Amino acid sequence: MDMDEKFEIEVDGKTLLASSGQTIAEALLANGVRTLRMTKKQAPRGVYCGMGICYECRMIVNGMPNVRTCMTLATPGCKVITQDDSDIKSPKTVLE
Amino acid sequence: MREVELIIIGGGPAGITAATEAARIGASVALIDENENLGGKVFGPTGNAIKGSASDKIEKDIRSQILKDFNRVSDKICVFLNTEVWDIVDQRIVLLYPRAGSDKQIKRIKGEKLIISIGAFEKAIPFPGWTLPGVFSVGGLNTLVKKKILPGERFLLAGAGPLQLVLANHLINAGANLSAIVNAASLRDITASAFQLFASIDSLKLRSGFDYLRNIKRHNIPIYRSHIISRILGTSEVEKAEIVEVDRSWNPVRGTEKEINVDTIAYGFGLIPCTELTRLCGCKHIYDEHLGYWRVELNDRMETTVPGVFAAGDGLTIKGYSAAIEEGRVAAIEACTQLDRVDKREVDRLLRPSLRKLRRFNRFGQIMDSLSAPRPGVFNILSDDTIVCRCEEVTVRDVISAVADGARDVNDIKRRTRLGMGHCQGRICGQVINELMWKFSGIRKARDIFTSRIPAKPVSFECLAS
Repeated sequence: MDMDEKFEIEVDGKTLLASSGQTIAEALLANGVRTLRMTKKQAPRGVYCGMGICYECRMIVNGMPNVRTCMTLATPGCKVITQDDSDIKSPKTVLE
Repeated sequence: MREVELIIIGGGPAGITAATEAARIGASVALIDENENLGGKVFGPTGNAIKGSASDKIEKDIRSQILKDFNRVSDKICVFLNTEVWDIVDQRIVLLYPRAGSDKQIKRIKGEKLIISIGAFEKAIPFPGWTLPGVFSVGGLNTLVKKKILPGERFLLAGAGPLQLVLANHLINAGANLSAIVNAASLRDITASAFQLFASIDSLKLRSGFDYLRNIKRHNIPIYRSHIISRILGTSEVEKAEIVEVDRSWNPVRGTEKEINVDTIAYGFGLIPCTELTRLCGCKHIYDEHLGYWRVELNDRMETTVPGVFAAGDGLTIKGYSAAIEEGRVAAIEACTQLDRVDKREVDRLLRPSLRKLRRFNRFGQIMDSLSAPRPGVFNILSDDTIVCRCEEVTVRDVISAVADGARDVNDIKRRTRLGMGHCQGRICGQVINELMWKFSGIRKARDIFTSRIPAKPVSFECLAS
């Protein structure tokens, strides 16, 4: 995989450069963006486990909330929004 | 419904080797992984982009060898990527949730035999400030650094366990500013285990360890032994870390606090096996006090207490990829024997070399785990405001009041506080809730575990409905 191939992604309306093979979380961290989500109590959260276990890195990706950005590859033009858990009306995932 | 002879869940070193072995033998195999690529954490798509020591080179060679072996027979293996397993019915039917990016829309698959090799995750102990952006698990930061991504300016490593050494070296070799290494184990603990390690003679791992220590010394990185992080200072992200000396039981020694100016922290106490799927299958698990985690009970052919359900790799006990490869091999050969694809008279001869290596790896893993298993004093750094359940933002104060109100067991705490009900399903807070209940009630009961529920991973409503 060519790691040097760069493309643009959109994060909260701003354009950032990602490299092919990077997850969305990796692309954000490489750009110095560490806060990815606000909890219901408005506490900032970012990547913690980096392997799909802790679900802390959930963001809104192409309109879909609760996407684990550490498990999702960045693609050219993808739109990523910092998730605010207090403002998510109908989460698309269920637990039990 | 698709049917195969052998389903393997988890495509890390154990799962890849199991699939390769079974396909070589001629069994029909499905290999399922939730990631974009096979390889797991150690043998992932990019491998290690950092120029490393001789032992890193050996790891790279092993990685390319097992991937080459796999690719030779991969046309005989049905691979599901980006696919979560959310339930296993009757120990045979695996229910799948294809995430975005999956090229298959198959929702269920049936196998005569099942190998579960889903790996491990970080052992985490809450401490004040640990939810701030900039605090990573050791494995989490390691994955980033291996891809040459440095998510901060000044780094601090804390906790215990061998992965810390590996990460320290990756950071140094990537040119990062590593301010300090903070390790809860005392020099005495480490010296004692060093002698045991020599006796276990895993020369590759020993050599890596020495390479790593030498490199840390050469770069004059301060190491604080018998220290833990007592809190993190910062409002929206990590601004500083405060560390404190600990005694033999890891109780903080008041008055020894020291602030270190860092913005990025990797923190963990070794790894613990993922047991959610073996628990869903009804396999028996035991809590190993010496290792400090729940593990599935197995016979020497990697079969669990449920016939036909096997487990392999760090999802059993933590030993690393060399052991995982051998375990994957043993599980696959035994499963294929039960499928009448291997001559029963041949099995012992086929398995002998792997079983011999595994005895050594097991010893090594035990020593490493006992070094990093958290000791009770570490819970004395918690403040009332410290978050215990990161997902539902349940604090120490909430746990204390639930216990005072008469909460009896971990499932009772869960009902009263929502602890363990969030997206991660108790994988993080479930590790410490027994200890916290014991601490705040003053009564040490039998260790308890959240009842395993489906879906094992959050899935969409549409998927559940279908």
